Amino acid sequence: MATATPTPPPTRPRSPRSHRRLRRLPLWRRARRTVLIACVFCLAVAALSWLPAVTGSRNLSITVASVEWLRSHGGNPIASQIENWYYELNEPEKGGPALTSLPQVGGAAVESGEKSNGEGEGEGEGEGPPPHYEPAAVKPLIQPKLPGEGVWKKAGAKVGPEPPALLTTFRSDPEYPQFVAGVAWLDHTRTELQYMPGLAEPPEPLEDRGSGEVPPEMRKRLVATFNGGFPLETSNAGLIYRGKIKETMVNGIATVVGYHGGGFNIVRWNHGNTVPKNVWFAKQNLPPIIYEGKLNPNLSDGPEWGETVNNATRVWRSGLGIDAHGNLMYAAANYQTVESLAKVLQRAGAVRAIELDINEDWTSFISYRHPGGLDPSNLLPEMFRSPERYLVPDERDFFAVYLKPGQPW
Amino acid sequence: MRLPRNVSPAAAERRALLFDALLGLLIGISAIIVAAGIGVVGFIALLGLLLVVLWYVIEGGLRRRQRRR
Repeated sequence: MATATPTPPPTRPRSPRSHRRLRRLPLWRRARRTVLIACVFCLAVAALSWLPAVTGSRNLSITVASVEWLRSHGGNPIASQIENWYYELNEPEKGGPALTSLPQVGGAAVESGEKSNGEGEGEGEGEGPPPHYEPAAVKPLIQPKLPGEGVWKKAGAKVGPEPPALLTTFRSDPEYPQFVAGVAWLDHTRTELQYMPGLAEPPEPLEDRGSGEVPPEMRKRLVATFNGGFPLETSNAGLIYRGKIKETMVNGIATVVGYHGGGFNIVRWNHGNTVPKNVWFAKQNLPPIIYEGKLNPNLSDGPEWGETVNNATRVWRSGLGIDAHGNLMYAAANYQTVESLAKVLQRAGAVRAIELDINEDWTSFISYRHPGGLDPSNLLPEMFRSPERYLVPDERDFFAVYLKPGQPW
Repeated sequence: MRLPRNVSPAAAERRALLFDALLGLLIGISAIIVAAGIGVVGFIALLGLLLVVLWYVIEGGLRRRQRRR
């Protein structure tokens, strides 16, 4: 029996290239491919969270919004470490050419409205109403002093004889004579302080969040606005908003407290996780940097300062203090350590103080030269954020300083 | 059910690719579950992706160079 042997179909001779393609992949190549697939998958999932965060954020660049997203999604230690490396690499050098002039601040920048309290406390004299307190000029650290250094100037243009806000600048560190610190003073008899949530900070859930900007109906009394301190996730501290606890309050932490009626204070919190009857808001941020007139002895690095840039690293920093008369003092400057910032506030007259935000993206003090939120200006010209920052919706929380009802501009 | 043992090299390659893809997904899912947050996962994945892509690019460049010689 003859069997027909099937003839194999003609095959095309394989090119050396296709031979190579069909050769078994070595294990390390397969491992690399597996890692690539895992990375692409993880990135795709992360993008589902990152994209809405970046496209939905207002008033922030894509880079800053991305860093904020990283921080709020478990990457805070990574972001802080990278920041530390960056700042260590870009540390300023000591010395350098001395400044010949200081930046013009406040209403004086547009009209000659300098407050003349060059020496000593500006307690008024004579008969009539109780004397109006004004802070003493800040004694310069570096001699010879520059024109206007440490002299308080009215923040607003065409304000009366009792300005609600004063501003000054001075060189704060003899080792770095080119650095200038800006300080603002806010009269507690004429102003009230309000805590304003941003669009994303404090995080949800939050009742009565508002629109993340100074409400238009409040702008006729608006004197100043400034940054509100670390996000709650970074500070691991508490918040009371509109008389209700939003985040667990922590004893021993420096706290900006606002009372019913507009009064304010900076305290070391000792009420536990309860809301005292008269407290309207309370924002905590790290331990006090000045308490009872003395610098915190632990201003060097330590775990109590949270997951932030090292305390000794020189970056933009801001702080809020209160003087012996109960007036607020805000200070900010570039290239500050926590200690140097505390010294700036102490030199300006603060007896208790809290560190607020750091980095150029978050440090803002804006005063308004005219009622209605008109003609806003940053405390220091090199402040990165726009002076309009809090007149449009912003991501982060902030403080607004208003004239008390009935007070003249 | 058993997978056929004698398969063409192309089928073996496809099978290996499928296995690697599934393993990659499994690693990715595990990382997302274990990590402190999706931000950490995204950041490390971005670094990993850049490294692997760089590796591919360098390897391709070296291979092209060798072929030209």
